[in-house]
Amino acid sequence: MRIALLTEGASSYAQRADSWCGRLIEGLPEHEFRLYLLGGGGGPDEGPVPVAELPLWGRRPKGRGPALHRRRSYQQAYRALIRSLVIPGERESFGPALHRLAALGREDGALPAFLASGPAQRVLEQAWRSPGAETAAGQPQVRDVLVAADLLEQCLRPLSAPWYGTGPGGLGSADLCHVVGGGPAALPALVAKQLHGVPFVITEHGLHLREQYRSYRTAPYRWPVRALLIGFFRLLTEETYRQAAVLTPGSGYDRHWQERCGADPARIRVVHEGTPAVARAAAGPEPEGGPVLVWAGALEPGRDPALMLHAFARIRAEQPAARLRMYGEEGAPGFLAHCREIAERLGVDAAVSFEGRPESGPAEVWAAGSLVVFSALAQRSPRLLADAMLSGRAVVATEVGVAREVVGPTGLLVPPRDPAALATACLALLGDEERRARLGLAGRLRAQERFAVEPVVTAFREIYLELVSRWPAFPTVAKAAARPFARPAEYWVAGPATAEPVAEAV
Amino acid sequence: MTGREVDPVRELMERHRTSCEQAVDALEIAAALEDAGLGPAEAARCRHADVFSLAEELYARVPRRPPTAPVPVPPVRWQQRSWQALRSAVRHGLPAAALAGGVAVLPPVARGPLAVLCGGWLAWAAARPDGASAPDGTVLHRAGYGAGVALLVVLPVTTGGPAGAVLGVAVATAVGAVEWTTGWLRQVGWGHLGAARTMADFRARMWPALPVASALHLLATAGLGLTGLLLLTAVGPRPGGGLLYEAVHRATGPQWAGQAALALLLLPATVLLRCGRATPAVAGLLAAGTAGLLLTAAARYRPETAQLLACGSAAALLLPYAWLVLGRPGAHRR
Repeated sequence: MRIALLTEGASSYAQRADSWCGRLIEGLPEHEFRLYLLGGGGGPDEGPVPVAELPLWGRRPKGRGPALHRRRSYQQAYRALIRSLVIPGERESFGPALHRLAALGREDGALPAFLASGPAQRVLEQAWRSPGAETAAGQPQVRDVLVAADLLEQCLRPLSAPWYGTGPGGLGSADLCHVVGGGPAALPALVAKQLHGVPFVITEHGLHLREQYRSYRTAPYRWPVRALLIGFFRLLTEETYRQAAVLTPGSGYDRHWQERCGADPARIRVVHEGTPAVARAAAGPEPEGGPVLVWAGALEPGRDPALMLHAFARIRAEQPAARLRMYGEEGAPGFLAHCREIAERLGVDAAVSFEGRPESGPAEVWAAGSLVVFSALAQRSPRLLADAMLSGRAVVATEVGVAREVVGPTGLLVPPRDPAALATACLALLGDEERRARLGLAGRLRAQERFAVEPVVTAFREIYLELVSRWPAFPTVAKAAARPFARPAEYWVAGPATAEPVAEAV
Repeated sequence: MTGREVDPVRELMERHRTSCEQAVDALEIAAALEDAGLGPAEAARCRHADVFSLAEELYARVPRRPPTAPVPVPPVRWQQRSWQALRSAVRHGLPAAALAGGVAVLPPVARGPLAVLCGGWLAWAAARPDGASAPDGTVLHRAGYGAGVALLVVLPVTTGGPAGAVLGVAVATAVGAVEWTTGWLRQVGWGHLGAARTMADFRARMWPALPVASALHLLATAGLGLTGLLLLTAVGPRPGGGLLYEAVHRATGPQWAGQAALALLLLPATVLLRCGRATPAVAGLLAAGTAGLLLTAAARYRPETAQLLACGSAAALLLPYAWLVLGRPGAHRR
C-alpha cells in the first residue's frame, strides 16, 4: 500500500530511525512510504524513504499574482474564508472556501502571490471590519491587517504545494495519507481527500490547537490578530477532525480535547507514543547514604519546582538525611536563581542539588534516586512520566493532565499545589521499602506494556488495513460505482504496489 | 445554603481574570486553566462536568478586555539618522568633488579616465548596502542604483562648466539628505501604521508626506548648490555687484532647473528602493542617465537641457508612482 506521511519538521529528523515516523516506517516494511514535509530544509535526505519538502515559514516563494480576470474569483474565495473566521454564522463556509482557494491555486499557481498582495489585504480588511464580525474586544488596525495577512499566507502555503495530482509522487496516487501532528500539515490531506478521495489518519502527540493557544498567549500580536489566527486554527482543526477517517491521539487526555473539537468518538483510537526506552534495563539498587528524591523537568513555573522544594522542606523535617536532586535546564530566564532562593529561604539548600541537564540520558537521572517525584501544574505529554516508570523506581506525581492514565495504580497521585499532600505521599513511600519496590516494578511493567514500540506498529498496521478496506477502491479510476469491501485486505499487502492502480476484476 | 458561602466560580474568575479577559474563545480559557493545574476535580467543585464547560461559564461571565498593548514604535533615532545622513553626504560628495576639482585642474586628455575612476567610486559608494533595516533590493538592484546615480552626477560635473560642476557636487552631497528624508518617510509610515484604523485612513494620512519631503529635499539641494556657488564666487575673480547676486547668476536658469529635476528624481527612486519597488526605481535612474548621455553626446543638446529633459521626464513618472506606493500600507513593512 502506498502511504503518504505528512508532517511538519526537518527532513533529517523525520528520516531518523529513532523518530516516531522513522520507527513507523521501519516497522511496516510491507508498505511503501513517502514523506511530505512542511518547513523542511534540514540537510540532505539520506534516508530510506523518498521525501518531498515545502518551506512553510520565512519569505514567500517567488511567483506572480493572478491575472486580472481571475483576481475576482480569488477575492471571492478569500473573502468567504475570512468571513467564516470572523462571523460566527458563516463557519460552515470554511471548508468550501479552503478548497476553492486550493483549486484556484492549482490552476495558475498564483495563490501565494495573491495572498500577499494589496487586493488580498483590502479583502481581509473589508471582511474583518464587516458588520456582524466578532471584534468585541477591539477592531483591527492597518498594522493588524498586514500582520494577519502575512501569517495567513504562511499557514495557507500547503494549499499551493506541488503535490496534488495522480502522477508519480502526487498525493492522488497514494492509497492513504497519514498526518502526524495537526495544523497546516493536515491541509494537503484535506485537499487530497476532496480531490482524489484519499482517506487520511491523523496522529497527534500534543495537540496542535492547544499548543497554538499556549504560544499565542505570549505572542506579540494584538487581540484581533490573535483572535483571527486562533479562529483559523480552530476551524482548521475542526474541519480536519471531521474529515479524518481515524484519529489517533497519544493519550486519553488529548482524546477529550479532540472530542471537544468535534471529533466523532467512534473514530478516535488512543495509540500511545511508543518509546524505545522500554528495552532499557531497570535501574540498579538504590543509592547508598539516605533517601534521595529525584525531580526532573525544565525549570519553569509550569513544572512547579517550588512545590517540590516546599514539600521537600517538610520531608526533611521528618527525615533529616533526605536529599533532593533536581535535573533539568532553566526553562524561564532567572528561574534557577529563583529556585535556589526558595531553597535557601526554606533552609534546605544544603540538601538540594541542581544538576542541570543529565549527560548520559534520562536513565542516569532515575537511577540516582530512590523515588521519582513530578510536581508539575500541567502534564500534557506522557513521555517523561513513562520514561521514569520504565526505570522501575516508584513515582509520585501531581494529578494533572495525563498523570492519572499513565501512572494509574502504580504510583501515588497527589493534588497539584499542595505541598503537604506531596510531602505525605513521599514520606509514606520513603518509609516503606517493600512498597516502593513493589510500586516501582508494577510501574515498569505497566509502562512496558503501554509504551512499547511494537503495539504502535501493530495498531497502525490494523488501522491502515481497516481503513482501505472500508474505503471505496480507486475512486478516481473506477468512476462508475465505487463499492466498499471491493478488495480483500490481502490485496493491499500482496507486494509492492504498481505505479498506476488498475481496476480489473479480482 | 448560607449567604456566606462563596461562589467557587467567582473565586476562579478573580484568580484567572487576566487570561479570561484576554481570551479569544472558551477553549483558550480551558487551556489556561489546565496549564494552571486545574483538572476535573476543580471543575466538579464548581459543579461542572469538565474543564471545558467551566471555561465556557468563565468566558460568558467575564467581559472581554484586551490589554491596550503599546504599539511597538521604534525609538525616534533622528540623531542616528542624521549622523548616517552626514556620513552618506560625505561619502557621495567626495568623489564628485574630486572629479570637479580634477576637471578644473587637469588637461582635457586626463578627464576621461578621471571621470571613469570617480564615477566608479561614486557608484560603489551609492551601491553599498547601508546596514539599515529597510529592504534595499538585491545586489543587482543596488548595482544598478549605484550606476544610475554615478551616471547622473558625473554628466553635469564633467560637461557643465564650473557652475554645473558645483551644482553636480551639491546634488551628490544631497544624497545624504535623500537618505535622511527616506528614513523620515519610513518612520512616519510606521507611525501611521499603528495609528490609522483603515487603509483609506492610512492613505489619507500619508498623502502629504511625499510632497513635503520633496519640497524639503529641493530646498536642501538648492541650498547646497548656492553654498557651493557662493564659495566659488568668493574665491574667484568677481566683476562687481553683490556676492549673493553674483553667486545666483553664476548658474543659468536651465542649470538650476536641471539640478532641481535631478534632485526630484533621486528622492522617489531611493524611496521606491526602500519600499520594495526596486525594479522601477533602478529602471528610472538608468533610463534617465542613459537618455541624458545620449542627448548630450549624440543629439548635441546643451548638458543642462539634456539633464532637465531626461531627469524631468523620469521624475514626472517616478514621483506619482512613489506617492501611490507610499500610500499603501504594505510598502512600509520591515
